[in-house]
Amino acid sequence: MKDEVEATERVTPREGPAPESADFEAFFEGEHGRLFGTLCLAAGDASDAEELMQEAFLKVWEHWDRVQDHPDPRAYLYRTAFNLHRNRLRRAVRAARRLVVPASSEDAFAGIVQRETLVRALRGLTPRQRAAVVLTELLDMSSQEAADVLGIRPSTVRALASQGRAALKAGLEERDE
Amino acid sequence: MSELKPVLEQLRDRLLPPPGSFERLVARRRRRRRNQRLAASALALVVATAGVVLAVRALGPTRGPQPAASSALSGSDVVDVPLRGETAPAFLADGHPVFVVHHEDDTVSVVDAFSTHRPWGVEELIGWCPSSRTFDEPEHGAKFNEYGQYLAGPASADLAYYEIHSTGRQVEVGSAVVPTTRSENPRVGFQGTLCEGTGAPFTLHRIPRSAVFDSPAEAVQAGPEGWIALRGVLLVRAGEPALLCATGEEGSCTSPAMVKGIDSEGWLDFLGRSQVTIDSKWIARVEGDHLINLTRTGLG
Repeated sequence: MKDEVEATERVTPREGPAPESADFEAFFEGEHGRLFGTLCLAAGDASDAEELMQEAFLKVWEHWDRVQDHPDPRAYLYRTAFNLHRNRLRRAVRAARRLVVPASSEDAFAGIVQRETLVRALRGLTPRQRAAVVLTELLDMSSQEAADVLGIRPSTVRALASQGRAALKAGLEERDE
Repeated sequence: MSELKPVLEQLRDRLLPPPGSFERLVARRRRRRRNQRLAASALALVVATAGVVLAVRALGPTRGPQPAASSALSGSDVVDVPLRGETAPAFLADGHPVFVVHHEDDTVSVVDAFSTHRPWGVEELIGWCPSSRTFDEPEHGAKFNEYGQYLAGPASADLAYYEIHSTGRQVEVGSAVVPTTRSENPRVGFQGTLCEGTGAPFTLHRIPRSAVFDSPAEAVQAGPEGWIALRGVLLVRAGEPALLCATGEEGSCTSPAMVKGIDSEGWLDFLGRSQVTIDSKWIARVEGDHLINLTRTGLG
């Protein structure tokens, strides 16, 4: 580098998935779509959902030797993803203040029918309410399991899920009218 | 509430991940491993060089003056058109980086070099991958076609482009057109092999070493108009304004300049950490006593 900073870089050849990672790639293909959708519902932001999904799969990949022998790799994946999501929810007041603003340009639901009342109702929930509803309703976790994932008390999970369900139910009823 | 689950499942199944997720995961893993290796090597190097530096200082070292920038990046609003089928980086009169694209059908586009993916307010320059004829964001993998239309990755909109007036082998660049959404039906998609993983050459903007400020504080003090280039460490800490520090000793922040527009709280919340640092080459603009539009250049 005499006069100028290097201008043209050669990107080093990618380490493609190793043969022993074929199982991981199959696992990724089978799970990433649903995990992305689930994280969109929980996070309300497609960019965040993509980041969380990538980071969760990366962690799973790093420990794939162990994870593939896990009795339920999918549960491990979702727990990892929601643990990452929990980091964003720890400072709930600030997070809520930030996320309750009108839908951003990365809005996860931007490609879906905007007028759909359920989407409106989901947007109206706080991040913690959304996470509680997704974990208990969509992923069938008990309030104790959801509490472990979110790092809050089971009673708080029940309260949040109850509030979220009420709002979503109102949205569904509005749609049915 | 039994009716809620199927409705949520339906909605979930309609939220589709962007294409190329696995390729981005592989690239991300590769970067992380490379960074881990670099960190280990850097630590060894620091330990080794520390001894050398101390020895040299003890012998009364003499250091030549460091080349220092004093002005903004320069360019022109009349840019050269590359050969048909080729794409070239250029700087506008205020140092704003763009790419000039001479399409195969003999039309010309001038496309903004800033990705529309701006995580936590940190911007990033894109590069040109000739083999796939795409603009790629090196750090996070967003991809756009040669017209700047969104193809893949975490970006919210197409790239901005410019109105142009052709003057033969050059074009005069006019106002920017800034899309706010992604193209649903891009004119062209990927046209060949992606640069990621192929070893294909990847074109980034050239920044003369003499135009790079080593001291963010001096850059702000000089206050040049237009875009400037800096070398430094972005330091984001909870409850404090984001700072760009001169690259130097780890753990200290020298010659800092305040950076506006960074969502520090959101970033740290997301990572679950109390501090983030990024050592890079940047471009930015000076506004008052701080930097704005801090942008990673992808040049390390």
